[in-house]
Amino acid sequence: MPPDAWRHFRGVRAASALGRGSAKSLAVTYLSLLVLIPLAALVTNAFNKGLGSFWHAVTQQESLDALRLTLLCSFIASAVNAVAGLATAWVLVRDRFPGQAILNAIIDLPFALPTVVAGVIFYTLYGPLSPFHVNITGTWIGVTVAIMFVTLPFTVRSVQPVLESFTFSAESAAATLGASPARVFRTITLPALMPAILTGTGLAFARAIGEYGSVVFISNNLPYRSEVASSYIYSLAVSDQTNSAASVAVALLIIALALLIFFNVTAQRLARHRA
Amino acid sequence: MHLRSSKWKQLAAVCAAAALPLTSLALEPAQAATTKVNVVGYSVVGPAYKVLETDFQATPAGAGVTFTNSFGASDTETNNVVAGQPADIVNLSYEPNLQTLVTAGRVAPSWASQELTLGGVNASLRLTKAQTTYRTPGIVTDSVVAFAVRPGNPLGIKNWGSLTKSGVQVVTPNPVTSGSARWNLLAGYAAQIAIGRSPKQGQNYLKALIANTVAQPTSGSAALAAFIAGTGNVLIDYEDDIDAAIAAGDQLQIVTPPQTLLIENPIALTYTGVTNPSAVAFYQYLFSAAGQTALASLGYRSVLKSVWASTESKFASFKKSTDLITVESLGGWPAVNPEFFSPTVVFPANSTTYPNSGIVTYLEKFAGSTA
Amino acid sequence: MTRSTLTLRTLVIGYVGLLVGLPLVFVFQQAFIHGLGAFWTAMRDQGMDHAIFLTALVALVAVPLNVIFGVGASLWIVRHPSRFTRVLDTIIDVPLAISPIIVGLVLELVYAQGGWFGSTLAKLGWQIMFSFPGIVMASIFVSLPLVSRQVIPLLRELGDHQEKTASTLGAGPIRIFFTITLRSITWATAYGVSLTLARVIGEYGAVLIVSGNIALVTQTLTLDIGANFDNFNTYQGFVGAVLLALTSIVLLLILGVARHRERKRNEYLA
Repeated sequence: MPPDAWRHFRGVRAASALGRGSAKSLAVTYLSLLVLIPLAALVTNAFNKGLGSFWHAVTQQESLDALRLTLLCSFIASAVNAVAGLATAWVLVRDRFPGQAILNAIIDLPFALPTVVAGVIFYTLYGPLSPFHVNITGTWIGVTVAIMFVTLPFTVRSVQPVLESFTFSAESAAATLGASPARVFRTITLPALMPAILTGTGLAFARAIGEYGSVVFISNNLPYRSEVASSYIYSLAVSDQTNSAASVAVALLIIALALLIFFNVTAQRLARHRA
Repeated sequence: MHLRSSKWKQLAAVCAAAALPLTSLALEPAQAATTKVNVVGYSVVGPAYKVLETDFQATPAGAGVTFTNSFGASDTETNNVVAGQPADIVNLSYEPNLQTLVTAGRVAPSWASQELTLGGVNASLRLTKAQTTYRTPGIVTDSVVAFAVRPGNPLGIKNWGSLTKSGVQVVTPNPVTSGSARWNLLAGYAAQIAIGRSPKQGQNYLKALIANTVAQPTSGSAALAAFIAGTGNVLIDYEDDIDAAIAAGDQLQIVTPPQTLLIENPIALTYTGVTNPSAVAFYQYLFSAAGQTALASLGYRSVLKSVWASTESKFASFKKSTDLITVESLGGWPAVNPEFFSPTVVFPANSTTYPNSGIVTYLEKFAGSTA
Repeated sequence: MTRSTLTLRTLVIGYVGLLVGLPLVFVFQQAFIHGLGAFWTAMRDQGMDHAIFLTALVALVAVPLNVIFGVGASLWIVRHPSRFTRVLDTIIDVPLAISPIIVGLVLELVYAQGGWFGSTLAKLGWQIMFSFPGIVMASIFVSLPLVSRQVIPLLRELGDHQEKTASTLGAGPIRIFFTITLRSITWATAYGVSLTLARVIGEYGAVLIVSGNIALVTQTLTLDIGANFDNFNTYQGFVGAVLLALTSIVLLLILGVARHRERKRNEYLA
């Protein structure tokens, strides 16, 4: 009997449907235990005293100051890294030069390095005792640079595999027809990469707003003046103000979710149009 | 075998999920019930326990005893013990942490008297008020709030008043996330009271002090790291922490202000610790002359008369007994903690600038909005 | 060699070099400041040895789980779109937006003694918090989308023409999956693995809370480094940091070599 004929047996088809169904339920269980239930705990804690209490916690002056600093720096850092990530992925895929492997190998470093170490390093390199006489501690620039450090891998690695998978057919066709490299990039390559860029930037932003260890140190953490949202949330949590902590955390989450949904939907639409 | 790939995935996932809780067994050290002691403490005192435990293991009472150690931010450690982290001995940053443990049912309400009932400490062995240190039961080490400055003390910092001068940049941990910071800020206030100022003047002092802060890192060690990395020109910290940093080679100089607050770090045996003979034995060791001498050599002020007498000269002294203020004299932690650090600011009927609850909370906001 | 290529190359090398290279150089400099001998002795420190062992174990469990889930979820989201997968697509990213310390506190809220499942777990005798499973859960939580986010854009870009063609030619679904689908996402998955591994071994905040930071029991390498920094053992801390950095770098270099070999092989076959 040919090896593929077994899939026509009803038993196997039923089993495969069952397989897909139980894969679904297993995934749901895995996701629930690990993510959904803790998320539910967070959201419950944010709203267990009512919407008014949630709003009150989020609109406290210290909260607004912290949210403003975090969101501003995260936006800027993510935007910069969106461009830098694309450029880096381009250079890693489309270029060839000695030492390229090393460039590729250090991209993930911001993930592997614990945030405490990153914090200490940035403070030493770009703080009061900086060998380059550059002091960005206690400023929004310092916070932004630290965020740029921890989010670079997202924007590079999301574009890189897509770029690597490109065949050059569409691009070389356009070039043969007389389009300049810039035009080719603008009209063919960039639209094709846009979903990946959006995905990477969305992830970068999500990580940026939650980043604690490296950012809190370089910011000097002055309440109201240079306190990031994650530090404010932490201070609320350890001083038994669980409801307020959860509220501000959920507020950040909602903002991140809004951006992620927008980016993901746009990415899906772009992909569908091109298919 | 032509299983659908998703079935393999399911199988793998199920095995992994089932194995997950069992793996915890692999990492738990062998449950030798009475010869393992779980120590939980605030971060600064961690290295001291390494020494103390080794010394204890060399004594007959400590032979064969093993330890697990968890040191970190005092509030986080407290939180974890409440959440079920195993602990026999808890040595935390300040009393309210112990109170949290009592409320959560981890420590007996009478923890302070364990020193006398279980610790083998005779009341007469302890220092008395007359010897310039107030003896609170349940305290295993003392220290004082002091300043760290750059070598040579270029700004001439000599007392708390120096810290509010213009141009002075103060580093102290954030009082909400760090227990040690509460000692620091309270000390500034207490020093004003000690030189005869009124509570309102004390609040004004704190306002000026907080306005002069350039960094409020989340923990004592982060504050020390920021200071060593060049931020600010004076750090408020525990005397023993500054001494340890200098001993480790950091470029600092210690200045002990003429009036300051006495730091008393509480210690207790938990409900599980009390029934663990090895834990009780270690607790006794900590209060014994041998243990206290070891602590004194690491920069902690001893609570035993005999040990204090022989190590007194190593530490800065105070002219009058009232120069070394205690939290007791300010009203005790249960009153002082909400008065200064409550997240809710409450004003008395006749004032809108001097709260009687949440003083530091209010002053942080004031500094933040007028910066 | 156009001028724009050279400019772009210089800009990128400059940016990455400044942002990532400089800290890396600093870490190495600090770790080898006392020479190779001191480095070797520091590596054999008892605390560090246990931390390395624990971190490796956590990675061994967390990374494969994430890969299985990540690849599975990606295929699902792209190839069988439905309302469920659209929600899944967004939910996967959410854990990344939660600050690591809060992750730890939230996991404690659910799985610790006073938590939602606390009493049930205690009755079953399962120790999740302050123990290995908790560390693994926290690690998975913070790295959940890393594999999917590599694979999904690629799957979308590739489309399923190849699979459809193969199916028309009579190949069975398993064969298609293993010979075509998996093959096409190999490198995206590989990058996802390296990102996940890096994130898992480098996670600090969430693991700090969830593990209880018990020395020689639940201290991962990042926690050991943190403790060393706290206790004036800065040198020891940097030695640990170098180990973490090298793990990520070496893995990527290996992947790079493998990729290069495969490209050469494909060129030969083409």
